[in-house]
Amino acid sequence: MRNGKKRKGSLTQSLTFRMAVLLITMFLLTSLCCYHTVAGLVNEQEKIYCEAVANNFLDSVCAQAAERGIPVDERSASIIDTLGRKLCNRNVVSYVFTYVVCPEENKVMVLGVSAQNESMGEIKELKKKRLQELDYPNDDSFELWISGLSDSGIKDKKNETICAVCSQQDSFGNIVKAGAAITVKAMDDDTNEDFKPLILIIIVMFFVLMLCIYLIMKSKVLRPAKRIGQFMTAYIKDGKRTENKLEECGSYEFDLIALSLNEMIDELDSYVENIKELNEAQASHKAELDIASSIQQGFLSPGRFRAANCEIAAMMTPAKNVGGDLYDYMVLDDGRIFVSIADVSGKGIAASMYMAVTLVFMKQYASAGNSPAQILRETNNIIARNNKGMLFATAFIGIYNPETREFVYSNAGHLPPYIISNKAKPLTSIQNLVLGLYPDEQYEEEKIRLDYGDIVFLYTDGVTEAINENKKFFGEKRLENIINEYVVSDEKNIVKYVYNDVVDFMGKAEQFDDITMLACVVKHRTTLELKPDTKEFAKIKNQILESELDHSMKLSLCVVAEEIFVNICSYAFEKFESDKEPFIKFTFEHSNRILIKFEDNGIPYDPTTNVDMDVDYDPDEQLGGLGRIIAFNIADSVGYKYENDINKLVIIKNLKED
Amino acid sequence: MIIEQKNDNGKVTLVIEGWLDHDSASQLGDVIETIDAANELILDLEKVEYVSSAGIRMIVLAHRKAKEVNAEFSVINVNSEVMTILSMTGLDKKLAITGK
Repeated sequence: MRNGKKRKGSLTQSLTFRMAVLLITMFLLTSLCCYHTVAGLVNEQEKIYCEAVANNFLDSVCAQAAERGIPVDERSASIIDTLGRKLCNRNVVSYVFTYVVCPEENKVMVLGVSAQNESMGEIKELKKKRLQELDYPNDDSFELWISGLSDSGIKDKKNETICAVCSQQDSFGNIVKAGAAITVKAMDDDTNEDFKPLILIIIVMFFVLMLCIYLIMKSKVLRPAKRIGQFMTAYIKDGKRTENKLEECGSYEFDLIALSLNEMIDELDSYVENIKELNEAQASHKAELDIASSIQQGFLSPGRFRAANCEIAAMMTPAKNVGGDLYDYMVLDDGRIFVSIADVSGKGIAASMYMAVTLVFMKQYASAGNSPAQILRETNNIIARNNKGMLFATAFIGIYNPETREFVYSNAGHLPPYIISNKAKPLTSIQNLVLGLYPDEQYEEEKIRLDYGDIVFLYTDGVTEAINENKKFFGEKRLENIINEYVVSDEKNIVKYVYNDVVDFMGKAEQFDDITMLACVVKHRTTLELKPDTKEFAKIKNQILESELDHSMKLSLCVVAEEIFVNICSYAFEKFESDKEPFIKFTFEHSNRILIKFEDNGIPYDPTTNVDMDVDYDPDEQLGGLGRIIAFNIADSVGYKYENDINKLVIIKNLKED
Repeated sequence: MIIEQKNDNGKVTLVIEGWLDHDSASQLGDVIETIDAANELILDLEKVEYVSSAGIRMIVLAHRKAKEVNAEFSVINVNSEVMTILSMTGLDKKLAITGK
C-alpha cells in the first residue's frame, strides 16, 4: 500500500472470489460424477429388465410350442409373432427377436422379429428374411448387430440400445435364443427430466451455502482481520493507537493475535521510551566527552609557533575523543625553548587526566629553570607517589638554547626523536625509566649542538604503529622515507606532511592510538628597519656577513640584497608622497634555507615583473634591469605581494642541493 | 674602495681594491671619466671580491671609454665569485675577461 506499490485486493474480495470458483468447480465435478453414476445404474437396471422380458418371452414361446407339441422352429412362427407383437404393443420393449443357431456353423436362423415400428429400416428387412438363415460368424456377432438397432429400426449413432439375450431348450431339446431391446434415448430424456429440479435445488443450496460462508467469514475472519490491520497501520504510521487496546475479536485465534499484539505494542512502547532515555544519556555523555576533549586540547599549545630562533609545528589527534598523548613547548624566561612529548599508557578520560597532570608538572618544573633530567625526576616523583591507577607515561623532553645552539634532552622510555639536517637521523639517547612508577628515580640527560635549519622531530608510537587495512604497521622505515621526502619538497609543515601520509596509509582502517608529533626547526632571524637610502645597504651587508654561512654564499646573498634594495629605494620611493615616515624593513632568516624579506611603505612596486632573464649583454645598449636579472638568477624563488599598503618581497635561497 | 691608476706608456691599468657595489661604483666612474688618452685600458679586479650590477655598469662604462679613445680593453684577475656574476649577464662572452 505504501512505497507507491499497487494496492493489493482486499481479503474479502479475493477470498470470496476464490471460494466461489473453487465451489463451482467442485459442484460441476460432483454433478458430472453423480450423473454418470445414476446413468450407469439406470442402464444396468434396463439391462436386467430386458433380460427378464426376454426370459419371460422365451418361456411363453417354449410353453405354447410345447402345448401344441411342436418344436420351436419355423412351425412356431405364429406363436412368436403373436407374443412378440403383444410385448411391443404394450411398449414393454422397443423390439424383441427370436432365433436359433443352425446346426451348421456360423449361421443363425431368425424365427421372428417384432418391433414397435416394424415398417422401418433394418427391422423391416429382417422381417422379410424371417426363417432365412443369416450369415453371421457366430451368434454373438449376430447379437451385437441386432442389439445395435434403435427403436426406429435403424443403426443410429445418437441412440444407444440396451439389449439382453437369453437361451432355453424347447420341449424337443433344441436350443432357442430370444432377445429384448430398449433404446436408451427414451430413458435418457426421462432421466434428464428427473435431474433438472435436482440440479436447480443443488444450485440454490450452493448459493445459500456460499452466502452463509461469506457472512460467517466476514464476521469471524475478515472484520477482525481488517480491524487489527487498521490498528497496526495507524500505530506504525503515526506511532499512535486508534484505540487504547485491541478488543476481543470473537474467536480464539484472533483473540490470541490481539492479545499478542497488545503485549507487543506495550513492550515496543517501553523499548522506544528506553531508547529515548538511552539516547539522551549518550548525548549527554558525548557532550561531556567533547567538553573533556576541548579542555584537553586547551592544555596543548597551538599547533604552530614562530619565533626568531625557532619554528614549531605540532599536532595531537586522539584515537578516541580524549587521548593520553601530549606535546608541549614554551619559551623560557631566559629565551631557551622547552619542548616535550609524552604518551600515557591507556586511552580515554583516565589517560587524559593523567596526561593533563603530567603536562602541567613538566611545564611548571621547566618554568622554574630546571634542566630536562631534573624536570623528569621531579615530575616522576610527584606522579609516582600519587599513582593509584598505576598508569605510566613515556616522555622525551629537551631544552634548546639559541645562544649556544645546544639542545639538552632527557628520555624517559620514549621513542628516540629524529634530528633532520639533510635527512632523518634517529637521536640515540639514554633510555631512562618511564614516568610514574617508582619515585626517586634518577634521570640522565645528554646534549647535542644543532645547526640552523636542523629539525628536531618528536613523535609518539601512534605514528609508527598506525595500522592499515592489511594489518600492517606504518613503521619507522616509512616515517624516515616520508621525512626525507619532505626535506627535498617545498612543503612548510613537516608535521602536516607526515600526518597526511599516515592518513593515506591507514585508509579506511580505524585509528587505534593517538597520533602526536612535534617538530622544532632551528633557525636564526634578524630584522633591520632602514631608510630608503642606498647608503643603508651597509647595514644589510654587515648583517649578512655576520651570519654563519660560507663566504661565497654570503657574497651571493649580498648581491641579491643590494640589487633589490637599490631597486626599491629608487622605484618604490622616487615618487613617494606621504606623511608617513618612509621605511624599508629587511628580514634575514637562516634555517635549512635562507629567507630574505623586504617590506616597505613605498608606492606599489613589484620587482618581479618586466625582467627578461634571457637578456644577453650588448655593451652599446641601455643596461636596464640588469641588477634584478642577477638577483633572480641567484635566488631559488621570489614572491611579491602588495598588502595593507605594504610591498612585500620574499626571496628564498636553498642551502642544500636537491 | 681604493683605486690605483697606473699609466705605462698609454697602457692604463686601474687596480681596484674592495667592494664594487652601488655606493662605490660612482667613485670608479669618476676615475674612468678622467681618462682622455690611452692605447690600452685594463681593469685589474684581483682585490675585488664583490661586484654588483652597479659595478658591472662601471665595467661597461670603462669599455665604452676605451672604444672612445681607441684603446684595447680588458678585465683581468677576476675571482670566481665575481666571474659568476659577470657570466649571469653574458658579459664574459662580449669582453676580454680573464680569471685569476
